[in-house]
Amino acid sequence: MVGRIVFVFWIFLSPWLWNTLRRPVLISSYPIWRLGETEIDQINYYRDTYKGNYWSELLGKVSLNKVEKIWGHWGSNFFTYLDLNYYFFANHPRERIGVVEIQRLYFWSLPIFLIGLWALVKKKLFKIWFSSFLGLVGLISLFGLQGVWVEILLLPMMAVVLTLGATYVFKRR
Amino acid sequence: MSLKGGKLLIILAIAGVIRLWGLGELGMGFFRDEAALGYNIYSMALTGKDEFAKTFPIIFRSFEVFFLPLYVYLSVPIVWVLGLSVFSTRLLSAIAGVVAVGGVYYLARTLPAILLAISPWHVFFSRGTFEGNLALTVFLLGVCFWVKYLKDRKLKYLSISLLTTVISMYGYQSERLVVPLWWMCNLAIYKKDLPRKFVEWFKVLLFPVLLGLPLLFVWFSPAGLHRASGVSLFSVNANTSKSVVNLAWKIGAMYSHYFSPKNLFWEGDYDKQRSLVEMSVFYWWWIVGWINGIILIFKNKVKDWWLVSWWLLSPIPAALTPDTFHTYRSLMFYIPNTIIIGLGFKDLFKSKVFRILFLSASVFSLVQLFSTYVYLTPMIRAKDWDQPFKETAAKVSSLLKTEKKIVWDRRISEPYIQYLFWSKYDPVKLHAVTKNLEFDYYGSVGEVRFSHLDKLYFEPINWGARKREVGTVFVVDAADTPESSIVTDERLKIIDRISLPDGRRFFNVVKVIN
Repeated sequence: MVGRIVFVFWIFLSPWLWNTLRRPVLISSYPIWRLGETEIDQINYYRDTYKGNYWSELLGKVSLNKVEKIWGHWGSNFFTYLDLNYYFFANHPRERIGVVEIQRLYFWSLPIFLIGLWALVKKKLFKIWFSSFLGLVGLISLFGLQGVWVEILLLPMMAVVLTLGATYVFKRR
Repeated sequence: MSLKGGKLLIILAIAGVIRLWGLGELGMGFFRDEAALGYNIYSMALTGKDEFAKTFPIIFRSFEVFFLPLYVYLSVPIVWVLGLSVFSTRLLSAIAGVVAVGGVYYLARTLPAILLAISPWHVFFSRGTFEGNLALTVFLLGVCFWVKYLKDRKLKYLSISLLTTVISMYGYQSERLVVPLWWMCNLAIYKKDLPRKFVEWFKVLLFPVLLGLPLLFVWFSPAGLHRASGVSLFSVNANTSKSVVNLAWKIGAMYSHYFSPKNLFWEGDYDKQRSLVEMSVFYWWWIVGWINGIILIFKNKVKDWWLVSWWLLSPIPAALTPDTFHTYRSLMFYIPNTIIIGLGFKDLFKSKVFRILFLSASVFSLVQLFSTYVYLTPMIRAKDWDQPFKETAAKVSSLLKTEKKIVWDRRISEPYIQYLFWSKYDPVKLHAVTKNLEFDYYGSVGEVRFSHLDKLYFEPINWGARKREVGTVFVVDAADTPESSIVTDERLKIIDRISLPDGRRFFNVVKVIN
């Protein structure tokens, strides 16, 4: 019962839900597979540094290409979702340019979250939770970070960990 | 030779090749801090005095950087034998990098040592003149002796460990904070393993304490405090809110962002002078080992508290500054991370498929590292690494034989130290100038510069006002002196153009002819 109450608390009283409702739906209209002109210029500019012989130019083509850039878009989103500061500190100190960052979870709940992760490891549930989390993050990353409504799907997963952490602390007291 | 000894030699050979091959030729330019260290080492080697004619200083102020002395003094024999060059200046850092791989092998065996040998961050800092890299290696050796003491209980290892870690505090700023905190934690955690008798403690502590006494001066002098006070979250410049909640939020954010997978495995350091293009601190796929390593810590399968305390304490100096993910200030953080990644991978190595994937990914990553270090970064970051200064200094040296006055724009980097380094300026002649500067070497933290050396002046150039000085040669920012404005002005003549490797103009060398 306590666990359910705490879980509902994290869902409805975290800043995440309310800050998301207040924001516009899209940040940018760029899908991750689309490259801007500056990115294409950059690929060509970087490839120029490899000019010299066949092997160095081949290395340049293999290292720097459109596929690598698209992978970079997805990876950038993916790793952002793995960043604890994204949730607990409004992405500080690496705020994105042109984006209004929001506080998603209370910063003082970070220790509770870490205790929750530890509790998951102890209960041998971490692999299940983490695999699900990674799968969801991988999927959301395809939309890019403009899909802010989509990322709310992560809130229940985080709330589970916070609930575990909070109930563990509550029981120990 | 035993199998273990053979493995270690192979790993050290790999580390040595990666760090020493082409040292001085391959890679980025030569940054002003490196030039400052190099020239001060040269001056110490020849005269026993630094650039300001200070005899055996305990802090090297240079252009208000206030380097700690370990790197300079240990490099003196190297530069004395090999002469002043990029290679001799960087050699000690490269050797420290190889020794660090050996240290990690002792602490955590094969896999973490291999990972360190090929780690982007460690290769980067080993191949430049970074006193923090040397300090880190010395601290690592101290940890090795501490672990040896915990195994053997011989007092001499405890004493050497204390001595070595105290020496590391003469190497870089971060060690001054982390080392005492680390010892406090370890002495508390391992109190059952510590000596009991006063005589034993006296023997163990005598030399480390004596060696550490000058550090009190370093800590409390204005010169020693300058770095900490200037860059901390609590300084006036940082504009940090005074409310307790905001401060807790800020410090929490700054501390936790060093543990962010995004910073460690994807984006890396934002500063162009402290990072490789398209490369983070670690290779992105190492996150697998990192997460598994942390799980092992959570499961209590890693009980080396000297490692866990090192891991948790080492980001503190960097976290107390407002700069985003400063890899140099948090350099001590990356060895425990590398060991944790190695332990995490070792746990997964039971699977043959994983071993094949690991090997393939490692080879691919090494090719990427080679690619960015040899091709991309030297070209893209040439400006951030002061690359054009070598050519400029050579040009200025040749012009000094014929021209009556040369003025070099000191708004760009620190041209004076680059000139001193590249021209191997006679320290005795320099001291004749700098000894007349009136300032408190350790007491004042304001800017101290000499205005000129013979006919060469280092001044901020207001081009509009200065281009009437007939007969003077100006080394000036190319952005301030577009080609079109000079070509059309009959009073001016471009003697030389100094460009970046990608062709962008950096300096124009312009003479006012009438």
